[in-house]
Amino acid sequence: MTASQRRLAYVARLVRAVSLGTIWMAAAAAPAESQFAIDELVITGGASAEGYQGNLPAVGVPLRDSVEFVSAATGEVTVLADASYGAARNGAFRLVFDGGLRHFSPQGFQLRDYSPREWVGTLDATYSRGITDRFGIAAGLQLRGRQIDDRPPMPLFLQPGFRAGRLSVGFDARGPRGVLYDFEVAADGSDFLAPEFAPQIRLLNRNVYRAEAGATLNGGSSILRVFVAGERSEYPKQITFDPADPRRLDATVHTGAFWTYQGTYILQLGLEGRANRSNSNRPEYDAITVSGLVSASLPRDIAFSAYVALTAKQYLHDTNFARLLPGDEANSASLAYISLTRSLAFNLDGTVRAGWSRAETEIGGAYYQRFGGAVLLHFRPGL
Amino acid sequence: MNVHAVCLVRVASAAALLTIGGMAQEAVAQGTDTESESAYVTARSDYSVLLEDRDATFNRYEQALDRVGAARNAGDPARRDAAYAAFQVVAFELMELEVAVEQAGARVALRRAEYLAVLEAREAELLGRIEDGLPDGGPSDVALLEEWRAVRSRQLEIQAEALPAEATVLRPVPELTVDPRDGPVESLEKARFMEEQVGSYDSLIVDLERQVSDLERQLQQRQSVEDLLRDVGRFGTDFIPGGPPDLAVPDGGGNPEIPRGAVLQDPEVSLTQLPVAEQIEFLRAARDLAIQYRDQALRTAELFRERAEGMR
Repeated sequence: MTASQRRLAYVARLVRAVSLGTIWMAAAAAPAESQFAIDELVITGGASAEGYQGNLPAVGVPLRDSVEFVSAATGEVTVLADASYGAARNGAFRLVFDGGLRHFSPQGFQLRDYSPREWVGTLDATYSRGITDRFGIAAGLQLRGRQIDDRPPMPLFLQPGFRAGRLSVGFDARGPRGVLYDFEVAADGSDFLAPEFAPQIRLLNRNVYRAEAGATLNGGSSILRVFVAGERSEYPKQITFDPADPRRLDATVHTGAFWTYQGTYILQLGLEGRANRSNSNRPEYDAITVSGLVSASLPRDIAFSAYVALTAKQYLHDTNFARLLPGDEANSASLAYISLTRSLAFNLDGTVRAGWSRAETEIGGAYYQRFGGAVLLHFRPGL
Repeated sequence: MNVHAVCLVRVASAAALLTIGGMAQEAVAQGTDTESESAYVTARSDYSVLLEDRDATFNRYEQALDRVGAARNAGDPARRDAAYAAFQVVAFELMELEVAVEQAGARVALRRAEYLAVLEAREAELLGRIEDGLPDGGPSDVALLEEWRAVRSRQLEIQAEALPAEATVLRPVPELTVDPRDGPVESLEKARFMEEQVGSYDSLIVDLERQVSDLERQLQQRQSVEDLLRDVGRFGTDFIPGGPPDLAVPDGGGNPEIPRGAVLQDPEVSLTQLPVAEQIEFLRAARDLAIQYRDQALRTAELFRERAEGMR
């Protein structure tokens, strides 16, 4: 049988399988041998204009300017590569790289003109394997890095550079009635890069140990997931002023539920709660986040997407000291983004996006705002 | 925030699962072992009968086609006409049976999923009883275990009976050639036959294009969400280290009911478990092939029709 005949037979089986509605293909049509594949490659370039408001203190920014608002024109280039290697009997290995460069041209500072550059990169390696038809395991290693040059003062808040690593082991089990149970334990360490003139940035170093259990109920196009997680966070550079227990240790309970519909449109609604307790009473807080994600098709082949997350956060104790909260800012942010995407050419999408965010700096209770618009091109040479 | 993404992965994968999971869950509440088994066995039996009919008819189809060729070569117009008329009857029967086999196959898959769901519920019930201990006067532990083994064994049997995909509806264009001895009637009949083939290919092309269009829309929506979450999270402006892992996004394939990695051990692969981009690629290939066949059939039909009209 020639290659074209095999292709024809494959397509013929496929067409019949499609016509059956159940869409099963024979084993012969499935990749039974080990194979390497680039599953996704996305190259993104874009420009944006943003405004930043909130002249607040930040740990990593010793310099203070006197302005309340600055604007910035930004250019960025990013690459995402997702590759996998799978063998029928030996599990699957997946490697994902996501990184990029962003360059700012701010306007409005009084002391001098800044020219900040951000380099970011994340490498994710995951190995997963089915033990039986009901149980599967996965192990993951994630490495993240971030470098920032010419970091500007507030209100143009940019996170300090860091190196971070994460190890995880997960376990899935399929239960009765289509419920998928999952459990994962992970250890995460972050090491912030402090220049000589700002050694206090190392106060943000953090080690986190997390255990999460969840259940996903699949109703076809409608899916509900609930989870609960416990975290223990160590801050080796932060002290509590208690000689008997000098290093800050936090314990966090994080729980939530997400309901998602995927049919002619995608809709996800989420509710999360987080309670953080510590041997230092400064960073103790309770927070709740409500989120929504939607994506739908509009006329002229335009895809509309929107994401909103609103967070209410309350600290339990008043204090005159700074509440250093590296890692928790993300959970405290309120965000709103909308985007319109349209195919411009083969493998090339154009996106217009507008966004607003309100987030804490590394110091708890100090919120800055960012808003702006962007034009982005996403090139996917793989499809 | 990262939990959103983790959930999205599962959710997006779940979207690829079609109706069987949902229907099977309904069956858990509605069906019994006996009813579900009976329905499945009946559907399977009906499918087998139709499959045998279809295979037998396909043999007759090939024989009838051979007889048309032989009659043409023999130069006997009456025999040729008779052979051609018989061929058309068999060809029509075959088309009808193809459709019936497809429908029966879909029914088997549905009944099979329902029956498996009932068995799964029964297994869960038995396990619960075994774990909870024995009620007074109830069956012994051994009896419950034996029943559980029987249910589990039956589940594996049914899972192993998934229908193979051995046939095709995308057949190559039938090879009807211009015979110098064909008269206007024969040429016109051949033209009509090929035009019917063109119609079949057209409807298949329309169906495939609709599926491609639906999947492209799904893919665009998913990529739009993926790009949004990635772009927002990539530079760490709103998402920074120390928390759960970085944002993940839907991959468009996979079955959320199958534990991670387990799909690799499954001897069967569902089209919907493939990433959406790959589904589109395969369906496009099928559509292109159908267009190629359609054009070929159309050219042949025009050739026969021109020949028939030229003889008048």
